[in-house]
Amino acid sequence: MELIVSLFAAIGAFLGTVAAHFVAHDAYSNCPRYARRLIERAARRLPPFERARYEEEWLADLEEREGVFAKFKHAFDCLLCARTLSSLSRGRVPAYIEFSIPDVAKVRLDFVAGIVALKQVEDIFVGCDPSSPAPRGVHSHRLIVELQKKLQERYGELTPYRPGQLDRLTDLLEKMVQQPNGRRPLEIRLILNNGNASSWDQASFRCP
Amino acid sequence: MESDIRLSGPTLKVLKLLIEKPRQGRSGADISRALHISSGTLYPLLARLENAGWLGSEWETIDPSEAGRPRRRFYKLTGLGQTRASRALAELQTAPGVLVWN
Repeated sequence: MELIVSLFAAIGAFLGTVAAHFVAHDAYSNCPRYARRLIERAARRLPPFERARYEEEWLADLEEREGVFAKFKHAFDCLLCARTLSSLSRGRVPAYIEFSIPDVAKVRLDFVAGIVALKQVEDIFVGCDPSSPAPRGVHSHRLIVELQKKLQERYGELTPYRPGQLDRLTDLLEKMVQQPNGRRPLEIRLILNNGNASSWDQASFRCP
Repeated sequence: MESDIRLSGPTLKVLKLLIEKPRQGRSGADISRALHISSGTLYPLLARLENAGWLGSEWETIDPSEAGRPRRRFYKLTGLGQTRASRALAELQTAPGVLVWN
């Protein structure tokens, strides 16, 4: 009887060890994925205009961390500091411009980056529709004047320009060019924060 | 502007590291590794310095799809940051009885 119990105990111990090994291996191999999810969650706690930047930055940081513990620690740290970063962002001028092609894609840029982008977009979009009564440059010029006026009334200063954001716009434009039905209208929205994370003023424009 | 920055120990360490090679940008991971500062402390600190105009940051110039990884963001001192950081570190080193960060 004792022999049978010992045998079952040995088999149980062996199976338990194998199962623990599989669980540990699974946890180890999935660690980067779980850590990435934590970072994505942390980024969602930030104001909309900061999310893409910090998510990419933190994920790049995660890639450089070696070992399960270091990766998880970094991810949890990001989760914890998101609230602090969010409160720091509240003091900045939170305004951005969203460019979107309906049913295709959209991209958000800081205000100043958006203005630079508008000047690039002008060559591509404004005047591309021969039936449009507006001469080349009128749409974007009017838009820029209107955006600047709204911002100056409310804030008096602009967000700092962040190089690199235009790359995202380039991606968007490439997607647009690849559309089988040719060019589609580009929608441009100015989005201003009233100082409260949940309160946004929005103004929409549409380029031909 | 300077009064907005709280020159805590970790802040001084970061400033000292960045001022050693002011033209060389350093990523958050790089700074964290060099100074043993956790991400939870480092990123708010970098954001404060950036908001105050002491630091500038820019993306790494790679194509993430080609590199197979996200772009890093490099931080370096601005002209204002170099001036203010030098002054802060000099004051710290000359003040008697004050801890100097190595």
